[in-house]
Amino acid sequence: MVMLGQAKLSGRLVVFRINQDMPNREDNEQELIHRIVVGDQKAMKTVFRTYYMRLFYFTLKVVGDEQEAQDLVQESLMNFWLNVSNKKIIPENIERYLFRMIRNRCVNVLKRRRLVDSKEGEIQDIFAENAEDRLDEIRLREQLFYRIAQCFVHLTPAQNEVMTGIYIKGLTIRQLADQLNTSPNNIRNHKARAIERLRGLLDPELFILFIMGSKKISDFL
Amino acid sequence: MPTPSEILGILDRFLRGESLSDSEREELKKWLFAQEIADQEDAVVFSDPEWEKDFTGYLSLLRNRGKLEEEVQVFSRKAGFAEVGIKEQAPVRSIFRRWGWVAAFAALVAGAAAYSFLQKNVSESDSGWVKTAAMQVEPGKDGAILTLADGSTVVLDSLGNGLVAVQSGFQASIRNGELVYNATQEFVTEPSYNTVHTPKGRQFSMVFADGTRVWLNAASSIRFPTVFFGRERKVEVTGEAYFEISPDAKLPFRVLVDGRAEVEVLGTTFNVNAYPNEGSINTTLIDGSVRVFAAAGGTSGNSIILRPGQQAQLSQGTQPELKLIEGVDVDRTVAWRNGLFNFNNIDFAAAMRQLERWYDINVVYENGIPKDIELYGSMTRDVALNDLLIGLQKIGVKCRLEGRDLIILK
Repeated sequence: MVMLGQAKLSGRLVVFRINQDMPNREDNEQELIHRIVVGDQKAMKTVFRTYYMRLFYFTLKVVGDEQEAQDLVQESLMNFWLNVSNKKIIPENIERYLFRMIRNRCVNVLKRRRLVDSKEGEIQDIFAENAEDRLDEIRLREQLFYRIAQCFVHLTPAQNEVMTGIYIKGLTIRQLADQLNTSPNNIRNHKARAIERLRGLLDPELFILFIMGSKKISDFL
Repeated sequence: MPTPSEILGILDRFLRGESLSDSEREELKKWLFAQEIADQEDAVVFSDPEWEKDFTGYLSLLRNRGKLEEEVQVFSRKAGFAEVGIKEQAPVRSIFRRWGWVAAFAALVAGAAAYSFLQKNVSESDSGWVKTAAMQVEPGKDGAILTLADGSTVVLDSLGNGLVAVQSGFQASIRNGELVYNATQEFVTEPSYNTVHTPKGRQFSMVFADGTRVWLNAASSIRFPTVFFGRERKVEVTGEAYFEISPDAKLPFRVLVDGRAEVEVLGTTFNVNAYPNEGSINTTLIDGSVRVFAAAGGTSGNSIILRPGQQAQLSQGTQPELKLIEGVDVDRTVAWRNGLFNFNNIDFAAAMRQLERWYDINVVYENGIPKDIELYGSMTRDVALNDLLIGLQKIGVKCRLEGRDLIILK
């Protein structure tokens, strides 16, 4: 278990934990891998589409440059394709394997930058320890975001619209009701059902506490 | 039952990474899930606004199918993957009436099994309404016609690569399915103008010498100088086009829209919709900054500066009105460029007009436009019309296809 959280007990509160070994939702992941081993291009494109943006987000956060991030992710996925289809390497878990590959690339990029920046004559391995921590943090953040985004996908479009409106766009119930041309009560119902549904979807070790404003929490202080 | 301060104590230790006993864990869970979901006015997901922005950015990355497909192409080329003639199908979401109507139907393009299932159901319950047309109406595809300065025309076939035209100052070729212009001279004394137009049922994309990219939807056109010159880059557009303008501070980009409006641009991404039968010219800004003028040759007078996510709407008629619209559904506006129809929040007739342009058909309303049908959702554009009609039938739209006329009854 890894904990990732931030608590400001004076008002707003977010608490969440992630089970680091998330259950492998891809039952057909093994099948995908075996298809890639025999050179199935369509299977490779499926993997590409599944992971490209996630890897891109991670890389962009680490290296900061869009073009460089694009290139690094393309390289990693190309390596994946070659490793599996040519060298017949079989990864146990595609997500872990890909993220490890991109992480190594990122580490090299950062190391090179440090060496370039260092003064002439000084060749130090000044790759700071906290860079590793930062990489961990970004990896976990991506996982968290992905988990939440996945949950949104499982809501009905109506619930999705309500949840996005309230929690992402920050609209009030009234504003959302006006925008969608319906009653505030209708919105509240969808919201309640959506949250029930989210609770049901999240595994017991992952809970997200949506902020309820400061009233409830401050009651306890 | 633990007191609030006891709960806080447990919570505090939990947050610091200390291990909790099973009973403590249970209490904490109970407390957390017991919090009532009140409709607080200021509910947010993350306590840190930076996180919230980050998450929103993450979500839009995940949903950016256009960019994803571009990267897939880059990868496929490098890996030497086989060229696919037909675009691969993006995942399809079902279209159904919203707010509780349960008429959702399975994805139209889920494969032969699903298709035959749908067909079977239709013939059982809706006898007679579906006439499988003798001719399959295919969806639109890539293609356009290039008209050179001397009036000669070239049909652009996206599947062939190679030179299309070489004239003074430039050369045009097809590369990877788009029309690419390259300047062969630094300066020209007198520019020549070319026009690319897409008939109904076709779409195309092109790249100018400065790197600016334009996607044309069906029934649209763009007229442009073959080499950008002078103090501005100016093009003329009709129909619908999506622009990604290459930034150049010295040469502002201007788009004359259907002779009725003008957009001034400084390195940006935006979509212009100017079909004459759509009631207004809509310019939606996705990224960067533009100024929209309410008349051609705009340098003064009525204009609006847009920020990303906003739209300028210029109404038709003798006294056109320029309005600023906030909170535009950008996904819906640029869905066409991502190979999708997006029918969220548009009226039935507007959705039918999109089908008219893409499938090159005429929609005829036998009993007037149905008022009680609300479409919702999006789907890929590469569906044969008959399949789509079966879907419409399922949600209660009575229609039939006669040749290229789609007859809609109430």
